[in-house]
Amino acid sequence: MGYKTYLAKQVIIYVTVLIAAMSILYVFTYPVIQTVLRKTIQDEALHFKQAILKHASGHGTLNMTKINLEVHRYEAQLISSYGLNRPVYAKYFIQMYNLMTFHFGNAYYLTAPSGSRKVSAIIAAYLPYTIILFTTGTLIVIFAGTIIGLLSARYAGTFWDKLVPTIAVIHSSLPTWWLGFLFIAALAYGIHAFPPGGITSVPPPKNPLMYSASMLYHMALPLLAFTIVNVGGFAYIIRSLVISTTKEDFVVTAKARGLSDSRILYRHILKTASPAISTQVALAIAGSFAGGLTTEIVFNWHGLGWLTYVAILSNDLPVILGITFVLTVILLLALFIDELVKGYLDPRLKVGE
Amino acid sequence: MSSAETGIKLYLNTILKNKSGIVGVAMIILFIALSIYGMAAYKNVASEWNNANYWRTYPKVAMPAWMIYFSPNKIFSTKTFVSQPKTLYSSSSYEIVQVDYKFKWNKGSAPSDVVFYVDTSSPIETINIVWKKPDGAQVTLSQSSPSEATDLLSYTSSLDSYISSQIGYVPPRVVASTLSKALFGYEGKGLLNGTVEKGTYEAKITLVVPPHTKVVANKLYLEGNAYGIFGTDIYGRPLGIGILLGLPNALEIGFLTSIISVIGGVIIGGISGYLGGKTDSAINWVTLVMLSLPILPFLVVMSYVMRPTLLMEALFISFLVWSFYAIIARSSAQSIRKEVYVEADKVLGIPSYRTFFTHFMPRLTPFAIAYTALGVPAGIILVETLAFLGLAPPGLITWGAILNGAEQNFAAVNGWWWWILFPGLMIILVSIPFVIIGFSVERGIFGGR
Repeated sequence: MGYKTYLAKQVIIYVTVLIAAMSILYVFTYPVIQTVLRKTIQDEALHFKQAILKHASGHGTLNMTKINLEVHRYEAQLISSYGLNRPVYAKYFIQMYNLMTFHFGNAYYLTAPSGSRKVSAIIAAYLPYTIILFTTGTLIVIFAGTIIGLLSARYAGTFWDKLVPTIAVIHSSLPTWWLGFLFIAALAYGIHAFPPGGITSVPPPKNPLMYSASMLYHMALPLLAFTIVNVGGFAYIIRSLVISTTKEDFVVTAKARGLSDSRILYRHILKTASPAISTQVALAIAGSFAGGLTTEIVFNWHGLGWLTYVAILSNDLPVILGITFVLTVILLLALFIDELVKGYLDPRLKVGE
Repeated sequence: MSSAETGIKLYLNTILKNKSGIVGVAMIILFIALSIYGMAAYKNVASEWNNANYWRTYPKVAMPAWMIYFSPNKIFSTKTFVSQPKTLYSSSSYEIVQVDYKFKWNKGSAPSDVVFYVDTSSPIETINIVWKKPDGAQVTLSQSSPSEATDLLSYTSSLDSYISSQIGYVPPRVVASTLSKALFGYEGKGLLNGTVEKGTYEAKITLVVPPHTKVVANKLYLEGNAYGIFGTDIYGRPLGIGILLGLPNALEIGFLTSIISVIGGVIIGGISGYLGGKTDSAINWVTLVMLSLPILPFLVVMSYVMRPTLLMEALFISFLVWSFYAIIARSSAQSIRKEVYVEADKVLGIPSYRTFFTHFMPRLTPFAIAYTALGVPAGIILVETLAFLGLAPPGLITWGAILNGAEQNFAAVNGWWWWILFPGLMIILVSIPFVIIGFSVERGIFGGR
């Protein structure tokens, strides 16, 4: 199997997985989606009617029956375009098509900063902040976690070796949002060292340099909480991967050849373990977007997680559904890219074995 | 591997052999004992948890009582006084009863609230209170809809006019402690600046009641700012009781989610890895589908749409997380498949289901044990997170819901640290023994250091 065949197979698998995942979401939220669509249609029909009335009153001819007829025709047109009058299976295909083409409909109450009520516009406005915060956070975690994990795998019985299980326990038992909450109480309101939340100071600085400085200052506490909670888990994974690779025959061979420990670690063990590590990295980044929901709420960081919460509080279901879809796509994209990298790193695939 | 090496005994030994394992088991036993105690001792309290009326005589946002040792002059617990009621006047249409309290106050700050409690055999018609300060100044409190327990907030209009007559305006956000400062401060511009008149106070409560009414009980509560080991929240609910009552719920949902998802995941993953081929690809595809669903947003949507009970919530979580365990079980089943004894079974014509149960399941048990232990805190944290977002199963006391209350009432801004610290610490404390046991079993299997 060559790399191209491998690639084609992966594309098929991931596209079908995305459709299946969305189908599960669809089955669970089917009744809600129906009410959401009806509401959207009613809203649009009302807007349409108001527009006609405004137009007609300007011309001085106001024929209500004609206007109502026009509105009804528009409504029927919308209903058929959203597929509400179709049988269940047709509805399913239409909904899948709408989701896959990012047509999430209109939000009930929320608007994007630009004023648009389109769910896709709202999500596009908030997604970058989530990406900035959690990609930075995950990169710090990967960097620090890899160093600690390697140190602990290399120096058995030392401080580093004992540190990893301890911080791994922290990782599995400490909720990030609570740590953030505590930090806000102690470090922001207690000693006033950090801002309690938000993305930049209010009003946002005009100078782009000052703007990014203010943003970094506001990112400090969420990043601190995120790193403390997650670094242990990553270090533990790296450590286990390295230790399990150390037991392989080729490592023994390398030792027998008299190679230095650091050369074995970096050139042999790490090279072999890298596909597994890259999987962890991809999962960590994509997973952090979805898992950062509560962190964003606690720190009032206006990203996707915060948006989800606001959408829940204001009963804005189209936004909630749209976000869930986008997060699923991001996670699948990460897994897919990871497959590609793994395929690329795996020499067996390159030679077409 | 002989059968002795794969039995349950071995894992118990692995756990009990190292110190942290013993600590973990001891902590779990302690938590279970505490849950049973909490459920038995505070059974009635649990149903009153969301009934604000039940907690009206408790001090609001009081810090833990042990803080008194650090600052006995400023921090104190609630003081109560009882008095003998006197009938001043009685006729065929009404009676006037007076309850007179005299008490000394020499703390450095005013009580957080004052509660007047008078339990009468028939409803009170009017209530009038004359409050005398040590220097002779008097405040008259009255209100239109008397009940058996009235705190200072129910006399807000009387006290507001008193405050504005002294300092010239009414502060924008009046809470019970502001009103209490007015009752305990020196008259004049500095009424609310926190200085307290020390000496003997007198509170004369005059009640108009229907004839032949008996005063069954009476009490004056000078609410402290310290209560219990963990303090109280804004409704006066002792956090210690809340934390205790949250424990069985946390453990229940943790165990349920963990056991359901791990057993499901290990069986599905084990079968997938054991059978291989097309079945394996199919199951692996399903696992990938489940893995790709973002757990937290999906759970939030589900909880929001359906408002599930505790059991339903556990099933939802298990449905979303079993795939993680399936992946791990599958890869270890794949490695078992290459072993010689599996080949031998095949050659001998032993049916495949028997091979599965004799060779695969025993070797998958350690995974199941390790990940069941690790799954408990994961389930607890997920549910507490949902509760923190206000999506807890309705009617359940959870630490997440307590923390949600803290966030909604700006505990961080107001410096009510005990409300934030203790419920969160409990989440960690409950998780730690399970994580320790999970890691020690995992280390036992993989032979790590």
